[in-house]
Amino acid sequence: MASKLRTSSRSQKWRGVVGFTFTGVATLISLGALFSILAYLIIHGIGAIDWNFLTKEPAAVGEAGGGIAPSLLGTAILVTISMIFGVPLGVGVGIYLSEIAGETHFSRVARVSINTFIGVPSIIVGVFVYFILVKPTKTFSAVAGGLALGIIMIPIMARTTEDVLRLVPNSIREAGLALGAPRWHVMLHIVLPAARAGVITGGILAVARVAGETAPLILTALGNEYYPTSLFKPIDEITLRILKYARGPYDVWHQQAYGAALILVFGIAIGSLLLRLTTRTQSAAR
Amino acid sequence: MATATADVLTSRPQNEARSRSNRGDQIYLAVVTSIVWVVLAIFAGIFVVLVTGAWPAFKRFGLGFIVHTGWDPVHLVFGALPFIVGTVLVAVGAMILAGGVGLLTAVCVTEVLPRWLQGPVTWLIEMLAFIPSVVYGLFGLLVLAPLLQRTVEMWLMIHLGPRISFFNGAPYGVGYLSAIVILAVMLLPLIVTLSREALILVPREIKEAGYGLGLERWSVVWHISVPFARNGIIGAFVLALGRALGETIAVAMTIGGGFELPKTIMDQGYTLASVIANEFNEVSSNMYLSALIYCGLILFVITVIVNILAYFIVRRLSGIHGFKA
Amino acid sequence: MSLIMSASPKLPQASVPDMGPNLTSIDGRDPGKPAFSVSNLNFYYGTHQALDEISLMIEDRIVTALIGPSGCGKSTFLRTLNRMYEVVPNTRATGSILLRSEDLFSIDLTQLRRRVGMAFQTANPFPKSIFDNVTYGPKIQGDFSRAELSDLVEESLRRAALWDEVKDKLHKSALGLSGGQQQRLCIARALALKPEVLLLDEPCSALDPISTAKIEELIVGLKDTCAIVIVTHNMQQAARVADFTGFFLMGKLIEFDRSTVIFEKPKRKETEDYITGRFG
Repeated sequence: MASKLRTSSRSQKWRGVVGFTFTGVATLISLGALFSILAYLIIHGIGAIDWNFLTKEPAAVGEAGGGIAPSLLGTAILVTISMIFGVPLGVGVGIYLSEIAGETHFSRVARVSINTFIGVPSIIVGVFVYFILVKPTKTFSAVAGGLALGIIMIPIMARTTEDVLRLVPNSIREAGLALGAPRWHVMLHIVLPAARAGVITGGILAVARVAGETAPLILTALGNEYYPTSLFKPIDEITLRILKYARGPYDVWHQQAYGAALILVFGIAIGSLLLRLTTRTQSAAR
Repeated sequence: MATATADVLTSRPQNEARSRSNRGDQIYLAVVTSIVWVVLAIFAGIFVVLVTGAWPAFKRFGLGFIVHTGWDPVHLVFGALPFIVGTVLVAVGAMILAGGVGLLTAVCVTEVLPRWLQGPVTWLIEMLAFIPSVVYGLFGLLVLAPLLQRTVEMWLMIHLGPRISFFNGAPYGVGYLSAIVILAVMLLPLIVTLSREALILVPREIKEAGYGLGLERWSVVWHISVPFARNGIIGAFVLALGRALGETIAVAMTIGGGFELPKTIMDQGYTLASVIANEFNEVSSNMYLSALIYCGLILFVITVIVNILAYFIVRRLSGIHGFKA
Repeated sequence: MSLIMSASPKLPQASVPDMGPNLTSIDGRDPGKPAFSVSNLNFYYGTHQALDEISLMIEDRIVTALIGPSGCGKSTFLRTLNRMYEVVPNTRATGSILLRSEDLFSIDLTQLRRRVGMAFQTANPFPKSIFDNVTYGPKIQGDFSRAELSDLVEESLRRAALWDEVKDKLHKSALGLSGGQQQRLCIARALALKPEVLLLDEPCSALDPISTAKIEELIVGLKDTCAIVIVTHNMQQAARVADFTGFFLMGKLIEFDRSTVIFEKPKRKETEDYITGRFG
């Protein structure tokens, strides 16, 4: 009996060693994936980035030189349009879910829909906008691309808004109401300011998410070689540019794809990092 | 005053409306509620547009579209089975890789690493979620696919190929396998973060009870912590599966493209999402377009089902553990 | 005195306080009128009845304490007095409450909450400056100049016995104050609206003895300007600050009388059992 116990404890020990080794290996794989992607972007992309790359239009097919300035500008335009659609609607839905929704059928439907639509593939939204905007107007356009990104932003924005509003303690809502403030006033002047940092963070995360979307843009913004001239014409965007260059046959394009990807990834990373720092100092100051 | 009391003594139900009679509040409620209606209308609109767009193909092929192969834009014969199989193959393959690695990583991050390393490592893995799909696609297409071609695919073909026909393919690089691997990397942050949250919620008392019985640390982790966090981990996996089914660009860039059923894991093919992305701007006829939308409708229905499932699993958990997705 | 007697013939549980000669009319209020006259009040959360036929009078410029075991309905009752219960869905009140002689359920909610101030169990200052906390209520109710607001802030903070501690940091965040200071700030915030009644829902339950003593002192000091209704778990506190005390049990008002009577020779056995700690 005693010897049996001893052997089982020894095999337990061995299993532990093997098991923990596996977890370590898995973690190294996860981190390795991150570092190898970042390393490739930096090694292959840094050479592509210079002043011309940021300020010039794309060069003629297959030729060296040229830049991605129209894509950067287009990205800014598309993200701006998407925020015009997505932020008010998303925040509105978030306010509804946190502050107003009761146990009615309507609120239950709204809640399930929002949480379901976070998971709907973005290409489906692209198909939707293609049919309601691109096909009727007979042109791909910046507005269509922005609308698609905005729709994708809505459920993300709604859920983060709901979450941060729920973190605001109910007691301060009660305090406002007990002073005779109407609900809208408590919302606008107490709850939203208290949750401001969180809502802004949620907004930036949503923007970061849609700024990296490509699939819906293939069906809506299409891409373009030139500076944008109209909101109702096809427009280029940085991920569309990366897609095109990655798939092209030229080494120059590949290098520029890495360069553009490097800019995109670091743009998103630095943006979120700065944001995290500023909101943290803000909430500390409060 | 006593008489004034008398007539208000009659019992009177309080109506909610009176408490909200403030005009500002009426406007506030109206605005917010109509925003919700607009958003729900958009969501319903997506479904309506998909059904209308898919209608011509549905009339022609019916539900048989789902179980038929053959994709011939010239003779207008379409069947989505290869893409459905491709979607399941890629998603399940990626889930197996990412599920295993992700769960082990989550265990490592919560139970193995010293406390001062847990935060930074988690943060780094979360960084993976910030990388856009197209960048994964770029890396998959230009780095991973050639690498797999030279190493894993070659090895599989030579060593497993003769015995298992599923591995007996030509190593092209791009193809199902590359799509599976790159998709697995994309799913890692989601699985690690959510599984970690579930593991963190395992009460210390329960683990201590395990140590008290003389169990080694690994046994406590594997036989107590992981089973205890099981529901949260399942929720994480279902959410990740939803992501995997719908991922488009990274898969479209690495899967190679093809309209036939996969015979080996090295073949080139399509998933439902990637066939739309790659073929949409190439369509030559309305029927072809409609067939693609039909694919979109199938994808939509599948992901909605998976996500509703995930929602209810996660919500049930939040009732129990305060688990948050 | 006799007027009040005649006003409440149907309310046998409500004893009549001795108002004393020192009351003067301010704000045009009729000092003779009780702050609240409650008759046959029933309250329901969905189908659960939380208050059962409550009738009592709460006199002006008097501290009234409500005591009883947890879940007895005392806080619910307090929340009907400014209709705070309306934030909870599926709640319903029947019966009558008069604020002075007006039907409480017909008063505009904003007006009602201005006239009936409230402080809560845990201090709940807004995440704003001390100044902005105090001026939040007045700013909703009307236009005040900066100078008027400053005066109002000073006056309210003085009445809440907080002025000396915070006068140099009015524009600092209210969240930097100690728990006791935060609670007094919340009282000052309510006082800034010059309420006729102040409702206190276990205001000291989260405070240390020193802060509690300060708040009790402040409560006694406030009663020459408004009626105060305080819900408390602490019987010593009720005995110290309250002129009148009501004892609630399972949704019913068991006994309502002068505090001296309640705590020294209660008429009902349930009250005596509770006071002497034999249950609850």
